[in-house]
Amino acid sequence: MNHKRGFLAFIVAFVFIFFFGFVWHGLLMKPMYIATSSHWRMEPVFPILILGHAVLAFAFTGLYVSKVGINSAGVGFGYGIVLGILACGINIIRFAVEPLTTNILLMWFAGDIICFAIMGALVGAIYRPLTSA
Amino acid sequence: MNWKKFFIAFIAVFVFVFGYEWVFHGILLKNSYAQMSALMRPQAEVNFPLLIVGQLVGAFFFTMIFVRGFGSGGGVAGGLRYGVLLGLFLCGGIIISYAVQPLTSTIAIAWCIGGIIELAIAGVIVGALYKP
Repeated sequence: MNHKRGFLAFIVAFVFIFFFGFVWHGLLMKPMYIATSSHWRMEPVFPILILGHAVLAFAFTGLYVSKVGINSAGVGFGYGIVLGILACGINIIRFAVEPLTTNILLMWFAGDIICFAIMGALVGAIYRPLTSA
Repeated sequence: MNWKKFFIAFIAVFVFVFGYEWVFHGILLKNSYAQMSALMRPQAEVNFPLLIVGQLVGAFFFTMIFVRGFGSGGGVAGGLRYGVLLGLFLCGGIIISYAVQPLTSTIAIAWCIGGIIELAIAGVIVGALYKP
């Protein structure tokens, strides 16, 4: 395992997912969240929000590095797509039990698949196993 | 790819997830959910068919990622590591939810720990059942 490349991929994944989340959820979806304001905090708890993104980026990168471990943006892209679809399954469960709107659910589907696909491509492009370094 | 073994592993994971979540969310955390009822649909409005669809999608892709992504899979130990890492991935999402939703800390911690245990066991099941 190439720890240096893995760490670099994790940092890039973290920066990307945080920026993507800001644009997707903080800007694009803002009117939807305002319409369902009773379901959300008035202001996010930013230290915890950053921690959550870091844990997510760490697990996403760690799984790729330890189990896939190929230097390929294409493979990473595919990995991100399937993890995005897995996340959609979790979103469906949340929609079944929480009073969310259909628009929010559909935007979460699109956001998760796009975000994880790009994140996977980035991680796949950056990570190189030691044998090919 | 061994489709027969894949299908058996997928069904086993789905049955486990359904049973685990019924006990974990429906029984163990029932009182905790009562404290934040504004964030949940009333019992009569919970969409059970959709809940099952979500679990089916999750179980299918959980099994698919292990089988297609990791070749031989690494058996039970590989499945356990895979499940723990995916549990951590799930936990990241829960922490983000806690940051933006007025969840209680008890619920957030329970979801994280329960999710990691759930997916670790699901990983062991896939690792034990799937043979390339």
